[in-house]
Amino acid sequence: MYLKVRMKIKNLPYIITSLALIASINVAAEISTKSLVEASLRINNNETDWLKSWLDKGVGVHRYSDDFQLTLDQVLTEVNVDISTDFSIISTIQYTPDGDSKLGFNEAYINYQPLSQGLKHQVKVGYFYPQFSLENSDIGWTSPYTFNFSAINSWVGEEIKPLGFEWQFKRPGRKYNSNFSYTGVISAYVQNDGVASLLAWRGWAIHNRQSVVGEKVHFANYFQFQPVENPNPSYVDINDETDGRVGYYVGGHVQYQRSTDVRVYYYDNKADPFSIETDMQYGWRTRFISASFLHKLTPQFRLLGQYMSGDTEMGDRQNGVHNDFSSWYLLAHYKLNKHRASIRYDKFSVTDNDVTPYDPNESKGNSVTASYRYQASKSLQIGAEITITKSENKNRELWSGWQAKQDQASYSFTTQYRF
Amino acid sequence: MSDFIGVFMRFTFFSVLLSFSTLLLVSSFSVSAATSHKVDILVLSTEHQSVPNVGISLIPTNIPKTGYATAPEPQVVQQIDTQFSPHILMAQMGAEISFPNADNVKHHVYSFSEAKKFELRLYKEEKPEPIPFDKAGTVTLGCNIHDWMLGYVYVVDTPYFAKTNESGFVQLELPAGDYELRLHNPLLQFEDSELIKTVKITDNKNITMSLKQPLLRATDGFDEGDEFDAY
Repeated sequence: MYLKVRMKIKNLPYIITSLALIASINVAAEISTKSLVEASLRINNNETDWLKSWLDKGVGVHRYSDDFQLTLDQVLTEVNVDISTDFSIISTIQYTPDGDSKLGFNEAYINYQPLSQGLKHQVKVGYFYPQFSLENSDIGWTSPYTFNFSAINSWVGEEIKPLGFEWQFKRPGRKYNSNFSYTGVISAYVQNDGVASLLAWRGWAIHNRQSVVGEKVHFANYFQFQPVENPNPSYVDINDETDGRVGYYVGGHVQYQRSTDVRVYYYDNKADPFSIETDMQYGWRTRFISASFLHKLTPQFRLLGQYMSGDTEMGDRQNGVHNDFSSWYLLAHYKLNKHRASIRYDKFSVTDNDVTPYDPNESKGNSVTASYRYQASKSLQIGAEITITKSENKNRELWSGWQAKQDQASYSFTTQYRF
Repeated sequence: MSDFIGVFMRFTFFSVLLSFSTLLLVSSFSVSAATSHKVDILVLSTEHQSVPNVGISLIPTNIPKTGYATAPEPQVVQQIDTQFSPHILMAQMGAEISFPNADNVKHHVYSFSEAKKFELRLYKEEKPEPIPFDKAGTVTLGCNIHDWMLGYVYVVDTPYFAKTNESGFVQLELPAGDYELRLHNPLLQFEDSELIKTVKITDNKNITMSLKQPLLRATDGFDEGDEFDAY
């Protein structure tokens, strides 16, 4: 019975969108959409044959595995249905040819944004991304700067997709004739109990494959070497609810005009580290802080950065996973007419604090992404990008003859079409 | 016979008189049209700097409304690059104002002002029907989606209005008469925004309006944004 109810909750994005469609027929609702299609020609230069993508059950940290590939990276459609002056339903539909769920929603929520004379309020109910960072401001939570996201946001896009509500209250500076705007954010949510599983096993990665709601993200079978009869399945069910506990995050944004933006968040999923589901999905008590900024030095030149640091506990220190994790990046972006160039440096690590044998989680690395794109027309962008990542993941040594320390390079010629 | 001559003479006399008076009337009209006077107005800050983009309105006080009333011209406030353009609009009372959206994002334009309360959801590149602004006063415009968007419509009960140029100057052509001159700009403080200056126009005239209080800090910095801004 409980399982059945949970299954139904997972269908919430479908229910929300169906409601939106029904509402749009019955009420004079307005539907607007924004879409993005991204495709690339790729050369992937991996040091060894076994350094495949986690999506191909490999131990690499880039999305694609083949030496030479033509890829449809993603099709994203943002659907906005205004059901009244104050209420709208916002969802993003994602299609990707790779991974477990090819088609699904990466956000789906009811948005309440009333007109107000003073403080501005916004309430979201459903599945949505927390606004930790300033990197993913383009259609469907993509980045306008680089095609591959930072390590932090590659991971947020994979695992942080809770079901809950978020209340934002803002004092918009200009309304008060002030150069500073202030925003407070409070959220409570469920279905985010497996968070940080990917960091423990696969480690940090650099990519742009967001998960959809309810997706199982598979990775290499690190558990085959464990001397147990039924090892864990090698995936994380990102919207699992193992313990019925409610998690929260709180945050604050400070903006100077529209040129500088600083955001600070604290996240705690409050999960019970001893809870477990029948399909061996565990509760991971995960907490972290995130601090991010965007600063425009000139209208053409800007800097972005983010720092994240946290810990996670699953089970006890003898048999479970107890890790610290942290990452930061710095991104410089220059825009000249229709030309845009970005360069980003990422650094990341996971520290293994438990003593569980056969499950080393230690990893560290860094990555550089250099990107150029040209706005050929209003709807067409073409670009080229290089991502070089050095990673040292201890658990690669579980396989005989494999080494922890590996380099990967991905070169892409990418086209984005928007409509 | 003499009677006939007498009647003819009287008729001719009245005809000439009538023609003359008509001529006089016509010429007096053309004189009044020609007697519009050029009025140059300069707005200076407390630091004696010229102040651009200040709305000026002059309401005649001793000319009957029928003497100068004209149909208000329709006006436009565009949303472009997630800003209102113009940032400050002067409009005659009764003017129809349209709010076309030139952006490819949605806007939700609203006003809570006494002079005009309204809201408009505007989808990308939508051109809505104009709205009549039939009450004098200040209308502050906002966008519920992009909270940095701010605009002002000053609705005035006169056809005589304009905005100062980059040099703080404005020229208006006004018929002779007495007027109440007001300044309109969101950065004016109380003493200047509430000031009513009585002006007598009999000839071409130069008027200098020196502000009594410093301007509020401008928030034009909020105009500097682009399509990558997170919101």
